[in-house]
Amino acid sequence: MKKNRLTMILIVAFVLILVGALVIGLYITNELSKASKTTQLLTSGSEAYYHLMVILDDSYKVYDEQFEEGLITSGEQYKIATEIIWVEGAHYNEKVFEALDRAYYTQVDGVILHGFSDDQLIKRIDELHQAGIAVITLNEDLSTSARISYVGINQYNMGQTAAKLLSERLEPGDQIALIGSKHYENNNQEDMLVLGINDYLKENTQNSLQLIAYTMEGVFSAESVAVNIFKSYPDIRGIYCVDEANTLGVVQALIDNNVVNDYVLLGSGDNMEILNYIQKGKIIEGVIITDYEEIAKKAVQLFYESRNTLYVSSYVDTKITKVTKDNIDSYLDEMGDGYEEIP
Amino acid sequence: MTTLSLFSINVMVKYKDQMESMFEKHLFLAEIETTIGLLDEDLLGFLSSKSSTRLNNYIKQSEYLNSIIIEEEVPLLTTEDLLMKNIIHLIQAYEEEAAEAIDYKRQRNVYAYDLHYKNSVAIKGLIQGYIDELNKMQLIVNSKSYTEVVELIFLLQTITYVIVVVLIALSMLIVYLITARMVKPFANLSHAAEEIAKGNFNTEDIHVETEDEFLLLATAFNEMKNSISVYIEEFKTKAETEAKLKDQQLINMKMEHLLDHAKLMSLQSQINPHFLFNTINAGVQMSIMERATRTGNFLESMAKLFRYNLQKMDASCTLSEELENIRDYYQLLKARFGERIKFKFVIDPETLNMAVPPLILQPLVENAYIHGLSDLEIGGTITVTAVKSVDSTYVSIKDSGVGMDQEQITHVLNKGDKPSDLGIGIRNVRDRLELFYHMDNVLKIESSKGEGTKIIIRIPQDME
Repeated sequence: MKKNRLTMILIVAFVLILVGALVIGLYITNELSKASKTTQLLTSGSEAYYHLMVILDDSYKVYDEQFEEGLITSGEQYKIATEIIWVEGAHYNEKVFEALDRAYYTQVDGVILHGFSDDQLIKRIDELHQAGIAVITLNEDLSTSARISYVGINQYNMGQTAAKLLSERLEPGDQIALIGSKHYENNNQEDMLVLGINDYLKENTQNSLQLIAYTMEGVFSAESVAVNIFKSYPDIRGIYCVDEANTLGVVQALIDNNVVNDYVLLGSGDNMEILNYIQKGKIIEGVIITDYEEIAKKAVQLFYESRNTLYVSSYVDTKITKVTKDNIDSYLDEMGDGYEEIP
Repeated sequence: MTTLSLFSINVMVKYKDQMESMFEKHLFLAEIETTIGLLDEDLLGFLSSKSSTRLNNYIKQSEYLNSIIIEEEVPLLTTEDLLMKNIIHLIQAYEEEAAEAIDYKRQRNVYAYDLHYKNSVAIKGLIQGYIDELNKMQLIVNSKSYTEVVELIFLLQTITYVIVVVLIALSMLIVYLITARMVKPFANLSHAAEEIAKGNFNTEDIHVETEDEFLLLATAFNEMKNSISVYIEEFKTKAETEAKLKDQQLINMKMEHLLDHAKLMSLQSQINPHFLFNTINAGVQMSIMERATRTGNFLESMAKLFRYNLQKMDASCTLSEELENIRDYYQLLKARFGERIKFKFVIDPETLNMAVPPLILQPLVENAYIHGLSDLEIGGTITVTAVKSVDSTYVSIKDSGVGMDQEQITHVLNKGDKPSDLGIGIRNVRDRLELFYHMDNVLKIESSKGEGTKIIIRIPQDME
């Protein structure tokens, strides 16, 4: 009896192992067919109803992570697939035109574009509009084109804010330098920024904007410009950098030349290194932060609304955030509460 | 084996599907690229030479290209879908530009067809770009998939080995069970046969659960075993019975021998019975004629004594008959010795029907007279008693004679000693009593010198 019982137990055990192995094997076999799934356009796995082509300037690093995050978030919400084309290198304008041709031929539903002042670009935008492709511009308004809307910060307001922040920390008579990237050359938005600075300084202070300098790509270009300012412009005591790379470049120049306490630096961006400098209370007095994620979200939303409603706003401001030593801690804590929003 | 085969086929099919899905896109894109290349060649050829052959080839290639691309809207679910959609739209745009170029060529509008051709070339470049991007993406995905598939296949391989091993073990176990089940009845049968060969017929019957030839065999074997066992028991019983009969016969033969010997002894002391009987009868008649009553009585008692001795050839008689024989003997002694030898009888009536062997009391009485009283001038008394107790009846012959000492008693009763005249009769009676009742200690002697002798016979209670 004992032998029989042992035999039955063995049989049951073997059957259980066999069934278990077969079940696992079948499960793994099914997994085989799932092994080659490509990336889904939308995280939810839903079908995308629209195709947006986003043409961006590769040298504009600020449009990296946050902007893409905004595109993805908004794309999920409105079921829009986004295709990003980074344009870089020489002959930037021609490459943008080629990208627009691609958008035209691939019959995308909409284009989000880093705009620049160029008649050809305006013409291409019009052609796309006639082909039923909605165009939304960033950076540059291009209000004379058939673009459906511009999304970005109010450069005039930003100029005003920058001027105010700098002048509060400067002595009367101190001069200010503006260091921008090459993107701002021949850019209407840059004009608005400068206008905003000048208007504020003129109306409220005894400071003035003495120099507007442009950098090429990279941190070192800003260092060169900064060193040149130290040497050649003794009256300049305030420096405003319009992007992160320039800000860090100027910081390095101030440190290397041991003139940290001689200048008031106002930067841009919420790079952790920059925020640390602000927290320490030296070198960088503050930054003006642009919410690029919100720009992306707004741009996609505008496109969606252009397809589903009769009216969309042709000019959409996004907020900027002023961060100084006074509110750096709360900004770092919550990244939402405790800092002053500039409408 | 079926399970394993189905499992393996399922794995192979899935693997094949997976491999196909990994590479079919590459093949498809390669096909498009090749066809676009051919289209461009034919288009350029036509625009250069206005060759109708080129145009026909172009048209054929265009139709072929249109046949292989899916024109209906594919849902945009993956990046692949997006890129594929772009490629399809670009192909359509290419064909439109190419068609424009062909039209303008026919119109001989160089600038126009040149422009459109350049556009088509640009579009072809875009198509190439997207194909490359898609291939690159596919390569990355397939590389990843390949790694995953290899891992899964390895896992499946291991699981297949496990399944094979388990199936083999299970099969062997099942085969073992089946054969054990088949062999078990034979083993039981063999074991039972061995036991029977050793003489052990008390083994358990063989039980078979199946209803086949094994059952018939087992049933027949059990019947055979049980039958043999019964026969052997019967033989044993018969042999025991025969042995008992033989023992009884031996006992009877011995009894007869002893009886014959007793009779012989009895008759040795007497004259030829028939002659004596006849002579005595003649004497009885003479006494009657002479009116010699006492003589007549004496002779009649003698005749009765001789008659009893002659007739009692039976194996048993009653105590009553033995006592009657004693009374006749007493009459003879009384006639000879008068009142000198007295007899006394104390008999429990309930003992009269007890079965006893013949001629057991008379030799003892005779012994009492000859060895106990005959030498005494004053004579004595012989008392015969028969008393019933709980489990036995005691018959005693007591005389008031000279008695015996213990040595004499021992000598009389000891079977090993040569019997004297005193012991022959007593031993004969004792031996016959033991044979008759199949028990020892049936006769006891109580005596002491000068006190007389008492011989006690114990008759078992169930001998009626």
